[in-house]
Amino acid sequence: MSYYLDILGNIGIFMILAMSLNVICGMTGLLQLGHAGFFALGAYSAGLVSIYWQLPGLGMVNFIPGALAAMLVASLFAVLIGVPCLRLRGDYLAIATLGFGEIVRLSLQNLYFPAPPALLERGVERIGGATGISLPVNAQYGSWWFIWIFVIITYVLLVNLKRSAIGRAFLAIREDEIAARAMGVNLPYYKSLSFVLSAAFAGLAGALYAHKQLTLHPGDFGLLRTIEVLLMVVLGGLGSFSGAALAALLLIGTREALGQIPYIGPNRELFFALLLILMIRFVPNGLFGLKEFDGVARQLARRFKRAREDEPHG
Amino acid sequence: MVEQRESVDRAVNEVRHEFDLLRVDGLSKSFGGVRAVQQVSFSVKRGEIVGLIGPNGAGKTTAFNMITGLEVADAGTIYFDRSYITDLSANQIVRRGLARTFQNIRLLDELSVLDNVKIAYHYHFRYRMMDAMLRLPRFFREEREITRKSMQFLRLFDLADVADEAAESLPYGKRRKLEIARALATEGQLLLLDEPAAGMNPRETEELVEMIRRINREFSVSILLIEHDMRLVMSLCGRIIVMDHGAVIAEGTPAEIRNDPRVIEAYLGARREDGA
Repeated sequence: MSYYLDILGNIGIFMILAMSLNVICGMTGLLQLGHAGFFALGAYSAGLVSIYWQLPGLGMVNFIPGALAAMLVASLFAVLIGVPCLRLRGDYLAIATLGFGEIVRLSLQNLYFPAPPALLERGVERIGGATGISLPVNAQYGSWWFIWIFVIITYVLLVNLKRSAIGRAFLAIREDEIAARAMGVNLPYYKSLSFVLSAAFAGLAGALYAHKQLTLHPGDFGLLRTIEVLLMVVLGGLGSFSGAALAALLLIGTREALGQIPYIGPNRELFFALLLILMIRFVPNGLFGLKEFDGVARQLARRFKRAREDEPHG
Repeated sequence: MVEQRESVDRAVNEVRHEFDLLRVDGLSKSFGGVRAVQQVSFSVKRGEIVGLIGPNGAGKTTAFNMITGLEVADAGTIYFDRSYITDLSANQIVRRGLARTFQNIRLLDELSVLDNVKIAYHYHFRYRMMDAMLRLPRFFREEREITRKSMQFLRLFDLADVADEAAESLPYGKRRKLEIARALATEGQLLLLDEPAAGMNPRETEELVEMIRRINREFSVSILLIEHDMRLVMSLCGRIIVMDHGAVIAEGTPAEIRNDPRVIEAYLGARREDGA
């Protein structure tokens, strides 16, 4: 049972990651390949806050400063790299962000932090590097429901944003940059806003991940992680938060299920490549297109009604 | 005597500025070796409908792009509503009340027809990101107002019944209309229409002419339009500016333009003197 609940928690974290990437890739239409970097920054920030300043007796309240730090650090880095990078067009932005993601991973691999007092007593002088960092055992807030509270909050906030003037500006940039400018949308501002927002929620996902896994390795935040999340966004439908969340559920679910099958289990990554090819061939707009759950429900209801009306005529 | 003359000139200039909604002076732009627009000057007065015509490649659209800030002019000045807008970017210019449509319709294809008009109110909203994310009263108040105004424009253009459809699903004529509705919804004072009748059938063109007249009258919006349909231009515009090879070659009323030898030459080619 606890195995399934653990997967449920993982799914929640990936849902937040996929929704956050959907802000920049889906809504604003800018290909960002450094998302794992922001995820890593969030995880490490929350992890370090917890390692140095975990307060006994406060329980889950300890999650708050770490999560805030995670979102803040991820946003700060997004501002730093967003200002120069967002002036680049098309593929160049993808390449620049890809570079950023790898820089974060390699930096974390070579960066050491002073050990907290508890470890110093045991003769450990520094933490970090390729072996990663470990959070205190009492900092585990990995219950599935705890993660899913944040899934719901993220979903509500981002869908609300999508259905506002700010979301319309993001979507307008994706649809036609020139038309967006001609209608008064300040491109550099809204591109940066979308980039920072995306990074902030990736940071939140990182904080949840840190407090669920407790041990963080730089290797967990490679390019493959970004690709995996991008796959979710594309499968869900670019611009759809419901789609991204559903795709995270489907992909993580299938991955775990495939893991149970002998022979296929160790090679399951192949399956994802195949899935990507099939998806682009058969559902290029993803599961939901631009729609959210309510839009899809309305569409299905209309189709159902039409089918019933057609029945008597044969 | 000279002093008197100068003061009169100044007074005349001031009066002219009073009435000029848009004033373009010595506007130039080159792309590599091609001088797309050279030393173009003209003006649009408040309440006017002005036509900008000329053969393909005359530099009309480039002039539009510079006026609306999508292209940076090499030289020249642009004044709009008595303020200097030459160095402003496109999104700042539309805020000043100068909106445009495009030759190749630029709609937000995957968004709904209603959202396409709502984007015109982009610079009107004052609520913050938090108001939107947490759905605070301020958000609802402003969005309700934006939706109400947008629906008004859709009704005006007979598009209200397709408000929820995706813009890409509309037929060509309606897409043109939607783009004009969107430009009008910016509530500006001057509309720049780039070939609004391109690809329309005669009946649709007729409707369009009526609509432009109505916009001009009822919303007191001035209009500057590029068009190749001469019947439309002659019947609609009070004044016509003709461009050829990047320069203004003639300006006047439709009657004057029709009989201007330079215009005839530009459109039909020069009569060869050697008689060949």
